[in-house]
Amino acid sequence: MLGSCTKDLDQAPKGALREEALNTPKAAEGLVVAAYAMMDNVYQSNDFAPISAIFNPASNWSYSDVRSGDAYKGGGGTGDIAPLGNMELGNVTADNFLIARKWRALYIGVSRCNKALKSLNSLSDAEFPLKARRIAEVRVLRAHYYFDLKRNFRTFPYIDESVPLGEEGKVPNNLTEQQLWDKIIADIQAGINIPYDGQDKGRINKYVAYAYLTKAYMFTKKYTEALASANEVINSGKYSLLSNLESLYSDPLVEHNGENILAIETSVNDGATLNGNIDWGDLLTSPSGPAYGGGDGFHRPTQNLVNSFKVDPITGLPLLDTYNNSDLTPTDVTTAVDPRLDHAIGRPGITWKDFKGEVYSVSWARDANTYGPYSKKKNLISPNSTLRASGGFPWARGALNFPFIKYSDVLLWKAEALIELNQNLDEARELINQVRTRAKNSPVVKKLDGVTPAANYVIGTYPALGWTQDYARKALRFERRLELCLEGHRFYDLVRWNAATDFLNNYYQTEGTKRPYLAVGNFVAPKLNYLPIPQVEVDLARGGLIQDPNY
Amino acid sequence: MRRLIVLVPLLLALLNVSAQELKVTGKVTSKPGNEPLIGASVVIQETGKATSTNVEGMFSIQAQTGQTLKVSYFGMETARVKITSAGPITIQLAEDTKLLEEVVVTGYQSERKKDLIGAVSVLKMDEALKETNANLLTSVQGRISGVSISTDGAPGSNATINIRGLGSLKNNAPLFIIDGMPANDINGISPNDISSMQVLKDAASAAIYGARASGGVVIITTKKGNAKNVGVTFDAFAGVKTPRNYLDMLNAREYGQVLFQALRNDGLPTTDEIYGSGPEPVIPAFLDDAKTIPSADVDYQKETYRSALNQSYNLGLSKNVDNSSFYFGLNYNKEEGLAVFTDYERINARLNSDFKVSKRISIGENFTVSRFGGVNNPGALPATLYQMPIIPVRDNLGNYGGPVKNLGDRLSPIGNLERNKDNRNRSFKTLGNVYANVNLFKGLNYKFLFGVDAVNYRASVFNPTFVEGRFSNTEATLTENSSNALNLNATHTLDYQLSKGKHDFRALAGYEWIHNKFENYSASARGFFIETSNFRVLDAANTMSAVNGGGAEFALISQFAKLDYQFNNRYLFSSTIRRDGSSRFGPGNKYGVFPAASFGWRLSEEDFFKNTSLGSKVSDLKLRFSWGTNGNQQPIDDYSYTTSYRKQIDFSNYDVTGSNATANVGYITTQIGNSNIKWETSIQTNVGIDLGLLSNRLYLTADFFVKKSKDLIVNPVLAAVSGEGNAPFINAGDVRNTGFEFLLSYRNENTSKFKYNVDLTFSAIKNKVISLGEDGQAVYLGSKSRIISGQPIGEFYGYVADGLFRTQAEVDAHATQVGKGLGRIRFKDVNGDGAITPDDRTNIGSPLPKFFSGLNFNGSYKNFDCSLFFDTQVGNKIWDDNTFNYKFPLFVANHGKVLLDAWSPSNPDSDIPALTTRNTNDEQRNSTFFLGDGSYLRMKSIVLGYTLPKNITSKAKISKARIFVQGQNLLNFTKFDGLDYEVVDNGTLDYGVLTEAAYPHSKSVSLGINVGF
Repeated sequence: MLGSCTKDLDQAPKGALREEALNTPKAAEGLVVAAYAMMDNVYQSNDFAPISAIFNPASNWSYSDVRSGDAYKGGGGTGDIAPLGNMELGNVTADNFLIARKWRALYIGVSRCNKALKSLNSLSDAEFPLKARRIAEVRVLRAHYYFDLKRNFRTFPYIDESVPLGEEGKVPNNLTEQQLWDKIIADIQAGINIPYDGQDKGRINKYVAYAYLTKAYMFTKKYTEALASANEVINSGKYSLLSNLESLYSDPLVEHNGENILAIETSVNDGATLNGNIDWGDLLTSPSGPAYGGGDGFHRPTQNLVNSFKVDPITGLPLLDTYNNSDLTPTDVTTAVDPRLDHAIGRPGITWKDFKGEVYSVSWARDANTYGPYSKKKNLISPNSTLRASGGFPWARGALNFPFIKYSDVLLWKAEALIELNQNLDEARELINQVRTRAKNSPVVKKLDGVTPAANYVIGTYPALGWTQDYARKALRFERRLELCLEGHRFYDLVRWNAATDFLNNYYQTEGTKRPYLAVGNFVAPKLNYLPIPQVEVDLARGGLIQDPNY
Repeated sequence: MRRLIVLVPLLLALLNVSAQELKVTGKVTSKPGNEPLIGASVVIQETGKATSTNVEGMFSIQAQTGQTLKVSYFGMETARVKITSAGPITIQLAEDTKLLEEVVVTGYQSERKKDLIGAVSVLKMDEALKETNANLLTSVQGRISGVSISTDGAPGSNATINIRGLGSLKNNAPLFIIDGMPANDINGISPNDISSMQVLKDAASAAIYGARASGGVVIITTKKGNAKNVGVTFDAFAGVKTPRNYLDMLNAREYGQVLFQALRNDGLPTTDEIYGSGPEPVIPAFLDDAKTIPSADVDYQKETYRSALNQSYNLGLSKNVDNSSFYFGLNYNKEEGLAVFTDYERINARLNSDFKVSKRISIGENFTVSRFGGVNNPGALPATLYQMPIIPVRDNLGNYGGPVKNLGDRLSPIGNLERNKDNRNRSFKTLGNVYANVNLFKGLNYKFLFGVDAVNYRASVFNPTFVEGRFSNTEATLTENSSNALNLNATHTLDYQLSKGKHDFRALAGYEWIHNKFENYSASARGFFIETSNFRVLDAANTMSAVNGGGAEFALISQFAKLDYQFNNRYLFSSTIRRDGSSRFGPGNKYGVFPAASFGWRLSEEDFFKNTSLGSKVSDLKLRFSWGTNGNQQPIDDYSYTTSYRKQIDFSNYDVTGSNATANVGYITTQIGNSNIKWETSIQTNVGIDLGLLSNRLYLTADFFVKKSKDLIVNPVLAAVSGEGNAPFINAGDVRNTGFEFLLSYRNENTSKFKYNVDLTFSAIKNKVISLGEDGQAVYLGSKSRIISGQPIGEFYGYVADGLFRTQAEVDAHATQVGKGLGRIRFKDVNGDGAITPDDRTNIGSPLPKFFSGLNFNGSYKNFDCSLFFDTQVGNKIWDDNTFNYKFPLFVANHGKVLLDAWSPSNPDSDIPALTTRNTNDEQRNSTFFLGDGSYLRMKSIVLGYTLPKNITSKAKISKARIFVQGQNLLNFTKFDGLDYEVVDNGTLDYGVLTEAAYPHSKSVSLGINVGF
């Protein structure tokens, strides 16, 4: 009490591991879990973390859908997250903080993987029997983060576990795009020996690796290889299409029933300070209606997307060339539409999942003046689910996983690979029809009475007649949009099909007559195919990073 | 300098030759005490002939009868004596207690104010406390030169205090010393218990507190017993406050007009879910389709803010017998917030006692226990501005009116506040110390002090179920937070004083130990069948959802020594050295050594000066010089020297099993360590002058300082590729604050019936970052500011908004700017490359004022007294976050009335951009459009008092009874067009930002009494 000895000056952090304690199996497991945990792109920052992940959603709704013609920015007016409004219109600058946040989130993922690998590498197999398996998982995870970097950014520094801690900033971005892809693919390939044994459903197994390989090959146009790895997934018999689309998009209890191959694993009541480890990146995408007690109304389906669900009333096939010639009006329930429309998109007058209070109406749509009457409906949890995070804020968040790769995606990649290789076009047709048939057989959205279909749903399969490579390609691309819309794929698809310029400039023109703020939009390729390296990172690197020359 | 000191007495000796007349002798002594005064000045007023007293206080001087002898001594009142004989005459000088003889506490010891040679501001507590506020800092604001205090208007008031500029990037808080022990803050202290407050501003004065003194030191001493009989004082006041300012927002009809005009400007159909599709907006009867929410026209500011009541009661008891004393203070203060359902309440009791055990030993204690806290606003304030006026306060079902359709996404501010009204936070604080003074032998004193500052904090936040417009919460939640902070300290000091002839020595040596411990816990639960207050406990919940807890500790161990030497009351020298060890630094860097030295020369005591015609007018003149270093460890966290990996449920954990209900434990980097991190040091040089004229009735204290912070502890932004965790703190950067400050006071002759005094403080501080980052050239970006070498800390950064485009020719002539057009903001092509790009961002203004100043007037006439206090701040820019919605209709929220005057071809002179619902010109980018001139002048307080005549009060055995009326913030002059010209720092790199959530200031009128028995 009269004054202690100098030992008092030696204080160590409470409840924290220090570096010397990392090389144990328990610490390694913890580092691996943390590497997984970054899949939701939620990171600790000085702002409103974890909520601030809204600015860098792992689902890429802002980086992909809002730039693709599938979704408007939404929210409370064009000034609400104005930097995203700029991106929506093709006005992309390196000082846009949304770009910096994405870059940072993904490199945190990379960093967590590298730290886990360092720890794992320090252990012997005897000390940690799961060592090899965990290393493989982490390498696939690292590929996942780099993959997201690659499709968003043209060029970036590649850092692996051989770079000493603290030296990461010295790595230049001097690899060619091919070299970057090779490294990503090599990491994914490390995962194809992880046994599929049904344990730890959220972890990566060999089929996740094969599915990811397929995706990477599709992006690099290696269709033969894509075909082979897609077959590994399909022939494994472990995955299938869920028979009920509404539960696929709404119910956390079915998310391991075979359709989701890789997803953000979310949980509630797990001790987290805000009720759960949830997909904060998609917080803003809930409609503001009574179903969730509120919502922010971002990520709003475009009229163009809604129109694409119109079908030929006889064949039930999409109107590949004419779909946007006229608008499906907001309350039109008589025109024949693909039943997936009302599973994916909130339309006035249509029941909202299992919410019984009232049907979706334009009053649920925030700032309908600017962003129209529709809301995203897909991948928002059932309002009555017991696995919601709360009865109000954070709205439609809960234990519902967000899918990165679904089985339907793999089926469509395989079909696309076949079409591009121009072989077995009928098998490709069969694959597309498999996806369509599921939609056809799935229970459709009913009126509040629970009996009557809510609209005129018609869907058919593609016939063999007239199934040429060109037609098949067009049908495949359209099918990807219908099946996978609002899940962060569309923009990257447009870019890899080299279709972004034509589609988007046409979209700005036509959609601009309906949503006038879009009229000034302009898509310039190849510049806008990728985002620039964030200005802040260029500045911090002091010449170590070379900006994408298109910026 | 030294040569001059040697020469001057010689010169004086030569001058002192006189003619033969009457030889008058005498002795000058002090009253009371009758001690001889050595070196008192004795002057024949008529001839200017002068001498000074010797060591026995004796003097002799040639004079003639009838002439006047003027005897003056520093710190004493001057005496004038008619010469009638050769004497010997005995002249007693009364102490001039008012000003300079005052004893001030300056660091482990006290000294006479007149001997101060550092830059120390001694606050006139009696004047400051005439302005009654719950928070002491609010009363002090503007009254101390070199000290800038900013407050907000929240009940209890949040205040930041900054002494002599921003020397550190983030943490510039001073060290508080309360009755000799360091404290983290002054929460829970009643202003009524304070007897004095000093601010150590220069490094030499503060150096005795070495380690944590770089932000300056505020020393607070609480009251001691001072009355022979039990002295009782009772003070009470009550007042009413109202908002100082409102923003003019659109009403329901005007909102529709603005919206429709914006749509018309955009070439869009005038259609809206609420306002219809006609050519003009129509207000519907009901907002929702179910017709439960009638339309209204609400001014949410007026509905939310109220006339709030302030009250304070204070009882003081004191007694002093045989050098043992006690003081007891009991205080209750309750302040209602301007916003309904918010308040701050504090009750505290203080007991200070000092007991003389024997001739050599005294022991004592100073303790206060307090409970304080209140109901904070739950983030409801922005909605007072931005809730749509068409939304009623309540709907027909009795719920608070909330947004439906496209009426935004804000909850009713009143609903929000009402649901929060029982969410009271409480701090229970014990602050104080016990001490023992032992006089070991003549001149040598040992003091031991053991102090404790313990705070127990509790807060529970219950969020009930509710329905409000389209918002609802179907599940109530409860979070209980608890924390304990325990700060212990022990100090041993040895103080030796020796006076020999003209030499005064004083030496101090000490040892100090400080240990800080913090623990916190919280638990959350969801789902309550019954939500009444009896059920707002965790056990009543259906599901426990989270439990968290943690802690931290740090320790400081220090040794220090101080040596003071005075020669002949004229030459003053002081030096200090302190060594601090801190647990916050890694092995090898724990210790920092902080030396300082100061010199003073009391020129007015020099005969050569006294005897000049100038010298005879000067009652005191002292030149001061000081140099010293102080340390700072506040910017770093407790363990940041080492890299740590932690579980952080929200970020590290993950449901790898796919269970939906558990998350496996993960470890992430939370801190990247830097074992080389060491003390941040500020080096300050101070040159000052104290000048008293007219028997010190006019007094000037002026200081010029250069304060350079080096090895600045900075927390650089790390490249994303480095991964996560707090960036390592590094010592990299220099900041310089150069400043000039003065206090000028004047009081009139005591003999006058109308007595008054005036004090003027003035401070001008220039801040500049000299270098930053490892290469000196780093750039730190805040969200609105940029820190870069060559500029002040916090310099705003963005585009220059160069007015609006008013003609097509202007549009055409301008550089490429996406979205430019008539009525749009023209951004300046700063780099002249013909296009507006991010490269055109530049420094656009500083949040730091060019100068600030305060003027205090105190007057009394017979039984009436009056005090007036003005303060001003000039030259700072404020970033107004409200501009976002106030001047742009781009976000679904209410907007400012200024939009009715937006630019249009028929209103070409407006500075408000043309109305639009699109943002093609990206006008919400960071630009000067968001900046306002933060200069202001205000009458911060006016107090009028009346003391009841003695002949009335004495009958009731009342020694003093005074009633007063006080007004605060009644007059405000500013060009700033935002809600509030006072901005509190928010702890980020962005200074000077008025946030949407800022709690506005009030103006108030109160009535009070002071009674003494």
